[in-house]
Parts: sequence; structure tokens; C-alpha cells
Amino acid sequence: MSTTLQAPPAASRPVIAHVGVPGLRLVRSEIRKVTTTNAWWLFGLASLAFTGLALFINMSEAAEHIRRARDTAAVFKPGRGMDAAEIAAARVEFAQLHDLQLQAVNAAGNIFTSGQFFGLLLVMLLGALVITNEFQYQTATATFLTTPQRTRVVFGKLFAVLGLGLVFWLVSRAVSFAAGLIFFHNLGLTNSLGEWPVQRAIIFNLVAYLLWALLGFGLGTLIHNQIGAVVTSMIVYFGGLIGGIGVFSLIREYVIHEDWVLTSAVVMPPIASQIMVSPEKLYAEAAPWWAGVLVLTGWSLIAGIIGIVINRRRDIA
Amino acid sequence: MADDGIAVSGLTKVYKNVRAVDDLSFTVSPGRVTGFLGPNGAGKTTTLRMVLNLVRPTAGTATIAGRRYADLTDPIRKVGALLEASSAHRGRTGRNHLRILCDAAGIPVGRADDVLAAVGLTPAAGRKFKGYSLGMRQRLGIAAALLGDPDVLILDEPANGLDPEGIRWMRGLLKSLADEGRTVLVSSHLLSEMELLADDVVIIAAGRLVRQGPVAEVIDSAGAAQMLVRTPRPEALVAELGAAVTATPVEGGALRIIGADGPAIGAAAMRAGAEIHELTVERRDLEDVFLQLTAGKADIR
Repeated sequence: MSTTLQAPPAASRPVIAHVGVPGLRLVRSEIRKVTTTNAWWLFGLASLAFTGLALFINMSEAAEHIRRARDTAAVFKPGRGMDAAEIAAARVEFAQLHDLQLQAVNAAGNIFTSGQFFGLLLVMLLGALVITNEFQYQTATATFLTTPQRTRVVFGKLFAVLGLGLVFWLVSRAVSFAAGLIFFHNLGLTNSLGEWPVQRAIIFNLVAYLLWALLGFGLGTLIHNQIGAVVTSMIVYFGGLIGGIGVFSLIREYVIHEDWVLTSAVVMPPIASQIMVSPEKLYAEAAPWWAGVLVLTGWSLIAGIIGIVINRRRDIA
Repeated sequence: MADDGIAVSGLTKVYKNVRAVDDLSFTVSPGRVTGFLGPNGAGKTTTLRMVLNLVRPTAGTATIAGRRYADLTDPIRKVGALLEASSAHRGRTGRNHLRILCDAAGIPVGRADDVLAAVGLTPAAGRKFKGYSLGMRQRLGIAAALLGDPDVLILDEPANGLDPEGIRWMRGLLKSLADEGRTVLVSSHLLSEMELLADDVVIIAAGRLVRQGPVAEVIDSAGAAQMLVRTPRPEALVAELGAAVTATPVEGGALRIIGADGPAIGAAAMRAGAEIHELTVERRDLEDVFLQLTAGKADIR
């Protein structure tokens, strides 16, 4: 009779499956980060509120313009003391104001992109928060322990941010579509969705959402301090437009008396954005729309790339 | 090192005007709990962060199972880490915090509930992190470290914020993990706790290695054992022991003798005809030895 010596039973260790597509795991993780805190619905509510407010303003304005255009009793009366050129210009303007089709298209362009001004700011701030949250709440440690390749983390976040921009655009557009369709139906007018200027406005509205989200993300990558990134974003968004126009006009007026100075104002992100979404030239010397796209993408890339390079070497403590 | 050990070699980190870690080398073996000890500011956390690729070394290397942390495929399946600043978003639940890590590592999200149960946090799984006590946060950090069922555990001050019961639980957990053949490296200030828990210790001060080895060896290496003797004829015994031995009277009429072991004192007492009423080894503990080894090196730098 023999006894067999047995090794003590090995502690049972769990078998942990490998799930998910390697490239998409990080995007999935980043999307869960966004959906498991309050920020997304707070920002979503704000976006809806601003869209609603903008819809109200845009629709009342459109209603007024369309009422005026439909007023067939109005006739052109030149003002007193106008010279021939002024009278001609006033006549063209009168004709435009009473062109129902033109007014309907303009109204559609405004209504179907309602809420853009604050919507863009919100996606920009969300883009900045996606990355600064990691440092604000010291979750960068856990994130970089799970994925030591920091640049991959940044790209995972990038796709999540673009997705977020898309969702915010979709929701905002769904609301304004519903409101706009009811509005035009109620007036017995076409909704002009078949018109290129309206389609263009909606397409570039999407491009703007994506590019501003990207720019916020780039700033967040560069400036890890949350307050710093948010304040910088706000300054860029609000200050860039007014300050940019002011500064470039002063340079044109007092330093370099050339029109290209005004054209180059496109380097300011908010001016670039306006130039991009406007169907007509924003001002006589304005750069073409694609310059706006390039400028916004360029700023995002510059901020993002510097941020990534710093981030690769940074000590996480 | 082909097994699951940790090897630190020549590791150095220089901040603006401080050498936080200075040419530090040591190894950590699998199947044992290794205590990583040092006074405040000795460079423990910086060292652990360099091992984990969170802080960039100025010089030197650190490998786990022969590879740098950044080169590990699926690092959290190989190494579980708890660091002081391992935190979670205040507004996120403990379960979601872990699920996010699962997503990124390609681990099924159900594993989050398994490790929450393992650390006793199941009742608080759906609560937000801001409502967690220090001890619960620490348990969540340990849960995160266990997520990938790793072969190597690196824990920075894991007992922080735990109550006595929690500390005992942690001791049992770490010992059983080491018994399963895993590598366990734990930094701590709690020297009495370390003496109970650790098989090996690595002691550093001012960024440099002071001593490394099994706990008993490190204690013995710090100097000869002390003996306590009680005898009615101390003078005769001291005379017989000779000049190589230092004997100091202690309260209660006993003698503390350094430089002679039990048999030597016994033999001398017999020759001197001195009756022995008590002869005990005064064991030095880890705390004594630690304070002796790091004396003068613990200054704030």
C-alpha cells in the first residue's frame, strides 16, 4: 500500500477573460468616465436651456421678418435727402426684406442651428474637463497604471470628446428640428431644408461643435489645472471675438494700413468659427471659410501636441 | 530576474535641489511580504512611483518580472498597486470607478463586484466616493489593486486610515497573497505592524539603501544581542566575563550585558561561583533597529 504525496491544493485564482476590442477599450473607459458623473447631464441641461432660449429669440425674430416679407401692401419710399447711390442701396435692401423666399431661408438657417453660441462654449468646456478631471481628482494615477502608454490615453479621450461633441450637436439639432418644423408648418411655409445655404449652416454647425470640443480638449491637455483650463477656454471664447476684432482694427488703423491685417483676424478662434459658419462673408476682408476650419484645427493640434509631449515626461505625483 | 520579483538598480531621482532617491538598488522576492521602510521623506513613495512608471527616474532602472512597467502587456493583470494619491472622482460610485478600470484593461466589468466583495465594500458599492471614510477609500484602492488578480502587489501605506480590525484584515490578506506565491511589497511607518507582517525588509533613509534582508537577520545585524542577568554577586560575574564585555546595571539590581551570549554568561557564572537568578535575552525589535539604522538620516531635506 502506498500513499501518494499530494501538493497542497493551489489556491483557486479566478480566470479573468479578456474582453473588448483593444483599440476601443480606452474609448469605452473614457465614455464611462463621462457618463458616471454629473457633468454630462448638467452640461446637457444647460445646452438644452440655451437651445430653447435661442429658439425662442430666433423664432420671434423670424416671425417678424416673415410677416414683413408677406406684407404686399408695403411699397418702397426713398428717404429724404438721399443721393442716387443711397436710394439704389435702400431699394435693394427693401427688395431683400420683402423677398419671402430669402427671408424663409435665412430664418431656417438661424432656427435649425439655434443654441450654437453657448452650445459651442459648453462642448469646449467639456473637452477641457475630460482631461483636467484626471488631475483635479487625482485619478491620473489609476488611469496611467492601467495604461502606461500615456499618448494612447490621450487618443482614447480624444475620440470620446469627439463623440461627446457629436451627441451634444445631435440633441441640440433634434430639438431645433422639431421646433423649426412646427414653426414653418404653422406659418404654411417651406422649411427650406432642401436649400443649400440651410444645409451648409447645419453641416458647419456640426463641424464647429467638433472643432470647439477639440480645442477645449487641446487646452486641457496643455493646462492640467482645471480652473486654469476653464478660465483660459472662456477667455479664448469670449475675449477672442471682441478683443480680436478690436486689436486687429487698431493695427489696421494705426500700424499697418493694409487690408490683409483684417483678413488675418481669422487666427482668433472665435472669429475663425464665425467665418466658417457664415454663409456669406462676415465682413468685406474676411478670410474664406476653409481658413476658419484650418485655424481651429491648427490651434487644437498645437495645444494638443505640446500637451502630449509634456504629458509623456510629466511626473504623476 | 525571470520570476515575478522586483529589481531596482541604481535608481535615482533628482528634483531641483534634492536627491530624493540616490543610487538605490534592492530586490524583492516572490512568495514573501517585503516591508519597505524609511523615515518621512526618505523617498519611499518616489521609488514606488518610479517602479510604476508614474515618475521618471533621473537614472537607473526598475523592473518587474524582468520588464519595465511600461513594457508590460496588460499591466494591471500583472501588477496591482495602491498609492497614497490613488483617488477616485468625488461624484463617482466605487463600483463605477472600478468598472472604468475594467473597461480600460479589457477585464469583464463583473469583476468589479468580485473585488468589492473581497474587500468588504459591497454595501457601499453604489455610494459616491465623497461619502467614503478614509478606511473605505483605502479598501477601494486595494480592490482596484486586486482587479487583475496580479502576481505582484505594490502597496504604499495600505494601513493608512484602517481601524484595528481593518489592519488585521489587511495583514491576513497580504500574508495569504504572498503564500499563494505572489510578490508583495508594502511601505509603511507602522514598524510593529511590519514586524508581524513582513518576511523581508528594505530600509532606506535619505534616498539611500540602509539595510535589506529577512527581518530577523536585519535585527541581528544591527548589533549583538543584549542579555539581562540577575545575580547576587554581580562584581564577580563581571570580573570573570572580562573586559570585552560591557555590563551596565539596570533598575531592580539586574545587569544588562552586551558582548556575551547565554552559554558564555552561564559558564562565566559557574567559574565565578555566582548564582544566576535570571538570564534572559533582551530581544531588540524592528523599531529599535530601525531608529538606530536611520539615526541622523531622518532630517527633513
